[in-house]
Amino acid sequence: MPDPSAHALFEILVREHADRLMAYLRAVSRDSNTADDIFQETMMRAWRRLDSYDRERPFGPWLRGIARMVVMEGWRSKQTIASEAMLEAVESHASRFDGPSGTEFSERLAHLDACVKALAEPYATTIDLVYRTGQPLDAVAAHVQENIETIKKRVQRARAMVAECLHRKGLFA
Amino acid sequence: MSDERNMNAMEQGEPVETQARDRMVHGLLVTRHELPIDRQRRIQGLMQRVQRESLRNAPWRRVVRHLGGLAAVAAVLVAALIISPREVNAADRARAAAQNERAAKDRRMMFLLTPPTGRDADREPLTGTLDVRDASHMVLTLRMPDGKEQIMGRNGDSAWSIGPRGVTRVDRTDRPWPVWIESPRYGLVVDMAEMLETGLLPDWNWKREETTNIEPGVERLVATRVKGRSGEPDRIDVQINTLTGRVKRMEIKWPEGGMPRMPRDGTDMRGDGEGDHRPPPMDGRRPPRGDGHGIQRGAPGRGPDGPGGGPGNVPMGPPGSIVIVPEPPVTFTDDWFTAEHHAPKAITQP
Repeated sequence: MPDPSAHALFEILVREHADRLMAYLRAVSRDSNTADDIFQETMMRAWRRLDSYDRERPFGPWLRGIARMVVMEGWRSKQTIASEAMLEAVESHASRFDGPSGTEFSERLAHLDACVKALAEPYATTIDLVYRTGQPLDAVAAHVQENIETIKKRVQRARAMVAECLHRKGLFA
Repeated sequence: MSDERNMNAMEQGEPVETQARDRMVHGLLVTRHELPIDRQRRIQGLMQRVQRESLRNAPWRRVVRHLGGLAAVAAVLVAALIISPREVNAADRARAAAQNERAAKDRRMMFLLTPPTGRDADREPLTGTLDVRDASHMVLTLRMPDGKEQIMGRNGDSAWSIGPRGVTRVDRTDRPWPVWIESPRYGLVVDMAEMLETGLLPDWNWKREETTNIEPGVERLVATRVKGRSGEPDRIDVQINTLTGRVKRMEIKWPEGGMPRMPRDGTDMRGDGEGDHRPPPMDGRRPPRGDGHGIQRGAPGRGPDGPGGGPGNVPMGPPGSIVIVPEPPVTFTDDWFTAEHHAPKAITQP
């Protein structure tokens, strides 16, 4: 029979790190479904290798290492950003955002919220419509009566400002 | 979250470093605004995969697998022979499917419970599993949106519940369960075999949904209730694998407005429990008539670990619908249906 304590430990680790991993996978995947698939594959591999996980070391980077292998092995490579340089760059941000061992992800997301809140208009509204309400860009464009290209540029600009804000707070490389 | 389309707004042709920052912020923002229920489903799906893989790899399973392979092939052939005539009517199909479901001694089902429309419409659906051996041996595990679990069980000798804080309570064996699990008239609602048989009662009509576009090899049957009482399900929608005759998915719906057990205090869709209507404990630590010895015996309360008609937040009244999906074959140990098996540390006999 499977060891119930290993299951319990793994579920705790999964619950603690699922959001961090999903944020990373969404950054390196083309869409949510692919990110979800890689999440499942990564976690299953992690489960199979749990014995080899050094509990003295942080779980997040170990997990991302497995995720990176899944991506680099070409698993649905057309749907992921398989470039080594890109994965390296995303990893540096993800690692910095993780913070020191024991940092709560929700605390880090509170900083993200603060950076979004600090955005000036019309960037704040655009980010809110795109991410909080989950509207596609064309719907957002129609809503604010702007050209879709304008909205794309606005979203890019807003994200760049959020990245800069996180960098100033020491949460981004 | 529409991140596929929002990816179109990614930095293109920019240096890798700029693109990486842009992508990471995107990933964080999507994750920040993900609905808790989606997160919960992802983790629950993963843990079930882990569980299945562990069971598959257990040493005893390898032996069983070798022996069971031939038996499974034979069972599939027999089932196909039994149900293959094209002209059997929908009720006969449902009867055959019920027999197939009954063939297994132990059954595990996953379910998704959707609240009724109206004032509970904004409540998140709940997921869980039901382990059944027979009507007196069941374990219900309900996962709350915050990831905590409530467990209810009975085993012929006792009925028990374990709240999210791990407090175990022993209840009377005749204590009613939520109406979406067990109805006085229809028996085990959440048990697919029993609901298929319910649909064969005279107050239900079966028909085959010919026009519905579902995957090949799957037959869809729908039973609608032609008479009955409010608060009882009025539609059973079942998908059956035509080769094996086994149910792939079942959805049971309750009529809108048929919510006689909805409380008026705006708490949730819990029922009114029965027997004891004393105010519930606020902290859930000392339910009425608790004996203070780990196992608590007594009447309903509404604390986080108190039954309140059902333990903690277990909804007692009719939901909007419940979707049930069978899990792979399972065999429960003899002690599976005892409280001790699920919360050994919380139990101390008085």
